[in-house]
Amino acid sequence: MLDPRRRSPLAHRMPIRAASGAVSLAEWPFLSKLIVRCQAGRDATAVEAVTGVALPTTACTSATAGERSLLWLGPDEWMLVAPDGEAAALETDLRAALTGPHTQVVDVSDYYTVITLTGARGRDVLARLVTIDLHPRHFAKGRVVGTLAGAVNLLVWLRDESDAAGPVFDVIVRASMADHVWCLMAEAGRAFGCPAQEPRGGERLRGALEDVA
Amino acid sequence: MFLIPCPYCGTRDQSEFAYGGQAHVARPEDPASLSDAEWAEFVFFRDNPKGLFAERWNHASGCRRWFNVLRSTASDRIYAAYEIGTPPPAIEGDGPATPSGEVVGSGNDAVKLVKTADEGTRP
Ligand SMILES: [Zn+2]
Repeated sequence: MLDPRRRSPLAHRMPIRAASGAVSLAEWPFLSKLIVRCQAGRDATAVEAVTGVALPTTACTSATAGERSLLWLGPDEWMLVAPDGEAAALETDLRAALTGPHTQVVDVSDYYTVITLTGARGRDVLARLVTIDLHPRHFAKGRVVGTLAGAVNLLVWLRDESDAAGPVFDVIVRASMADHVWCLMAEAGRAFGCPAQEPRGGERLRGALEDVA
Repeated sequence: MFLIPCPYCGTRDQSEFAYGGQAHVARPEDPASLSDAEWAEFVFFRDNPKGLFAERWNHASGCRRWFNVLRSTASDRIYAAYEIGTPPPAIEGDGPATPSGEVVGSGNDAVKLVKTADEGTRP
């Protein structure tokens, strides 16, 4: 049962949009997220039967079917994302389907939140924060990487990309770090007209950006 | 700083990785039968070569998997990255050595190379 009083980690942040329209930030709250650990060769069909999504076995890729996606996190580890409210049932069904040794299914919906970065300059904003090559030749639609921005571990997922809308990045970040990363991304977007965002914790952002510049 | 080739994710910046010390240190089969000196050897003593060194790394910010790396501690050149549980690949040599046996690639190379050519006379 979903508690009607629940608050997302970035409930205090309104979506922001650069005056130029080239960068927008918004939280994607309450997305269902589950960590699935299993052996691809043995369990791929079982995972697909429950989720409807084919298990991606190529490193740093994702697979999507309908509103559900599986993100590769490691050779035996994936993150399943699904619409709000589906986590409990998926967790139960996946646990029933994955019975072999070295399998694990954990609902981490409340542990992470998602910051969606859209706009034509999305790649340039992220390029100021991470050391990943974000050129479209290397970082195409569906790619997902775990990496480091300043002192924060996060997942960067290029969920969608089209000529009309530009890249749609989802940055999946731990709840306790969400406000810091939100402000860090806004700071990185200042060059493209993003409004400044003051960190709730009062930490300096400029230093974190210079470290990776 | 250098780039490390994760066997799973590909080449990434060193800041994404955590260091795990010397690789291929086998835990004794029967610790109870060891003398204090032998146990201390296993717990505390590690090789510290100048040159090729097999060491463990963890891709802490990426796939969070442990793996082994064959790196030259003199030049930081990485010769191989391979999965835990597999033996290190056979690698030949580590570049030209100085007369004293040091690997070229650390310290003042210009001096070492001159010494190689001119039997120890400094420029
Ligand atoms: Zn990795």
